Order: sequence, then C-alpha cells, then structure tokens
Amino acid sequence: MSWVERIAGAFPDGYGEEPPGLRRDIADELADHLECAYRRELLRTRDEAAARRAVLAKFGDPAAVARKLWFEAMKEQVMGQRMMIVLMAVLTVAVLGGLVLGYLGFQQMQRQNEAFLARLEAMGQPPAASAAPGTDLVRLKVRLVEETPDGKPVVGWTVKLEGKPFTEQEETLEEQTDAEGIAGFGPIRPGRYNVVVATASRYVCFREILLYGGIVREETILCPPEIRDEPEKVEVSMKLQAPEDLRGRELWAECRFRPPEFKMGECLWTHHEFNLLVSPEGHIYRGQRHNFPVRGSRREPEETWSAPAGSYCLVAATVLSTEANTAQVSPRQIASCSYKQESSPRFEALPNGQNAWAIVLPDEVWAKAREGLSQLPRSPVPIGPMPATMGK
Amino acid sequence: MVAKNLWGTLETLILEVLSRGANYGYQIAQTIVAESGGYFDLKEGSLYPALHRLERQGLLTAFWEETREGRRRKFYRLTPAGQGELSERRREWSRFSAGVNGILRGADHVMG
Repeated sequence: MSWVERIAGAFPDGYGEEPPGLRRDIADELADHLECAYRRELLRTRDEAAARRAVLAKFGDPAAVARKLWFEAMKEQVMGQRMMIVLMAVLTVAVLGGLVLGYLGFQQMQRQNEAFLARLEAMGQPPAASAAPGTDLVRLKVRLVEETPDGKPVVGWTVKLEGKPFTEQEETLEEQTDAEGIAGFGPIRPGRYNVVVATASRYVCFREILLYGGIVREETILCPPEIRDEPEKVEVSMKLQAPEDLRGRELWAECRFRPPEFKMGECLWTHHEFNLLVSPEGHIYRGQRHNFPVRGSRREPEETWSAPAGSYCLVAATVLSTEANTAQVSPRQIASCSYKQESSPRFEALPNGQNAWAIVLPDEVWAKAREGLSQLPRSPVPIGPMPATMGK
Repeated sequence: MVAKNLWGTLETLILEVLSRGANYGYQIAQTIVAESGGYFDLKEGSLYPALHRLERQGLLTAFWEETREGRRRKFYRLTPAGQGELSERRREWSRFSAGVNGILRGADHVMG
C-alpha cells in the first residue's frame, strides 16, 4: 500500500461544502514527506521494512495527522453543521414538546368537556329505571277517564308521549293505562311533549304539554264512551243523486268523509278523514280518484261499504267524469264543493238499520258539472268498468 | 527536548526557517533538527498542523511544485505578515532569554 493510499483511507465521509482537492493536497503533502523520510531511512538501514518502521516511528501515525489536518481545515463547516444538527434537535424537541403539551391540553379540555356534558346529561337525562329521579327531572301521569257521571277509568289504552326534551333528540315513550286509568312516565327530561291517545276505533286525541324540571304533573284526559270500544261494522250502500238531465252520463263523486269529533274539556278527539268514490248507480270504490281503476281494469266496484258503526260528516265532494278516460287517464274533475263543519251533511251507519246514503250535492255543483261535461271529449269506446254499463 | 516544551516554540522555528526562503515540510523538519543539534527531535508529523495553522493565519503562503519523481510537493513561503510576526517573536524571545539569563547569571554569581 502506497503512502497516499494509506493516508486517503483515513479521512471521514465527505461533506458537501468541502473545498475541492483538500484530501488530495493533504495526502500528497504527507506522502511527499514520508517518501523523503523513507529514502533517508533506506539509505541508512538498507532494509525496506526497517526503513518503513523508522519513518513511522519518527513521523507518527500519518492517518491521524491527515485526519487532524482535514478537520482543522473543515472546522468551521463541521462545527457549523454540528451546530445545525444541535439546533435542529433542539427545535425538534421543542416542537415535539409543544405537540405533547398541546395534546395534553387538548385531553384536559376534552375531559373538562366530557365532565361538563356528563353534568348536563345528569341534569337532563332520565336515570336508569332503578335510579332515583333527580330533582331536575319530571314525572308525568296521564289519567284517562270516561266522560260519564261516574268517571270510570279507561283501562289498557295506549298513551304515547312524543316530543323533544330540551337539548335532546326527539323521542317517543309509550305506556298502557293501569287499573286506575293511569299511564305513568318518568322520570323524564323537561321539554315540550305531545300526549297522544289512540283508541281501538282509531280516534286520536292530542294534547301539548310543557314540562318543567323538578315537578310531578298529572294530566287528565276525558274519553268519550262512544269511541271506547271498536265499533261494530255495518254495510252501507250509497248513491250519488245526479240531476235528471245528467242521468246516463259517466259520473262519480269523490266524497270525503270524516267521523264526528268529540271535544272533551281541553282535548279534541278526532278521526282521520277518508275518501269514497260513489256513482249514481250505487257503485263504490274505496280511495281517491287516483285509485280509480282505469279502462280495461278488471277491478269491479263494490255495492256496499263495510263501515264502522257511527256517524259521518261529508266534508267535501268532487264530481268526476270518466267519459274522457283512457287506459292511462284518471277521471276528470268537473266540479267540487266543500262544507263547513256546522253545515256538512251527516250520515249514520247504524247497527241493525237500513244504511242507504243518498249523496246530494248542491245545485251549483251540478251546474258546474254540466259546464265541465260539455268541454270534455268523449271516449270512443267504453271498455272498462263504467257506471253506465254496470248498472243493475 | 520533549514535545511539550516545543509547543509554542515550533511556530517560531518554522517562521525562522522560512525566513531564509521557501521550503517544504520534510526539509523544514530536517533543518530544525539539524540546526538545533538534534535538540528539537520533534515528531515530524506534528510539523504539519503548525504549518497549516500559520497558513490559515496568513503568515505563510503555499504553492505546489512537482518533483523529479513526479510527486506533488507543497512549498511554504513567509508572507509580509509572517515576516512581521517573526520580528515580533524574535524581540520577545530576546527579552525572555535576557531575563532568564540575567536570573541565571545572578544565581551563578551567588553559587560561585
């Protein structure tokens, strides 16, 4: 191994900012010295190995000298780089420390938030069934009694509590009335609720209540005896009473009926309205006009309607014509009327009675119907279940 | 002389040798050993850190030449700043040695 090779292996790994030729200059300078010294020692000893040993003994370790010279030349850059590394390390530690502190702070804030939410929860949420109710919670008793002189409790009815407690999602609770006619709710969160009572006869009573924290509230709802039980069903026939001049025309009336309402104290008992399609020939289709069978349908009309016994109000009626019907087009509306509650025609569906209802509409409705009929195109071939062809 | 006594004096010796003209490391080392009668038997490798330090301080300047054998050889030459530094060190050495000699003569007188 030459002196240059011996020295060149002594340098540390390269630095980016090292002056070009620095290593070579150091190696060449020291190699020149060692070569001169070697020749001197060789003349003296006549032994290459001994000369080499003597050179190294007088010079010292060439690799160590080369490293020292290189480091002295690179001291500023190396120290600068080391300072940079230290600075980066300090910055990294500072950033990590900041992140850790931030994370710890975030966790603490989260714990505080959770504790705060837990307190809010405790204030507003009903505890488990076994837990004692808090003073901020509410108990509600809904008592159902019949509207009779003896005020008998209504047993086994379903009472729903629908609503939105303060700060919470909407929810529905449901309880059955006990032997005293009481449905108990709670403890529940304060808020605005609807008490809903529905009967087997599909009557419904709504009552809005506002519940504040820390109270026990009792609501009494009077229930009409007429709707207590599911009523008996009776067969009802009905005919649309059309004027003489319109007999034979393809007419229907879409009749909107409503069972009677009952106002009991603060509570109004209502029943949903429903539609029937009635022809002058006494044919009946259930539902609205868009349920009317189009031409070509095999669906046959009914002659009677199986109705829960009771009284019904006609709320509105619409005269329809099927004369312009096609396979796709529903009956055309040609006239309509609606009634105020106090003036609406009443019909009775009585058990053990002749329940034949004649749907009589005001003259002005028929006047409009005539006008409407005159503007309708006639369908060329009646192919569906048409009133004119199905009359018996 | 042991190495620790040479420390600090070596740079003065290098400047002194180079005040006679440009020279290279091996020859500078040989001159110091020879002219000191072998008293400054320095590790030859220790010469180079001192040479490079003086060069970085601007007291020496360097240049390269090629030997007959084809090796590159680095020569050092004293700069004007190096000349001034050498003069200052000579004066300092004279004051130092005079002081030491004065004390040593007094001691000889007492002892004699």
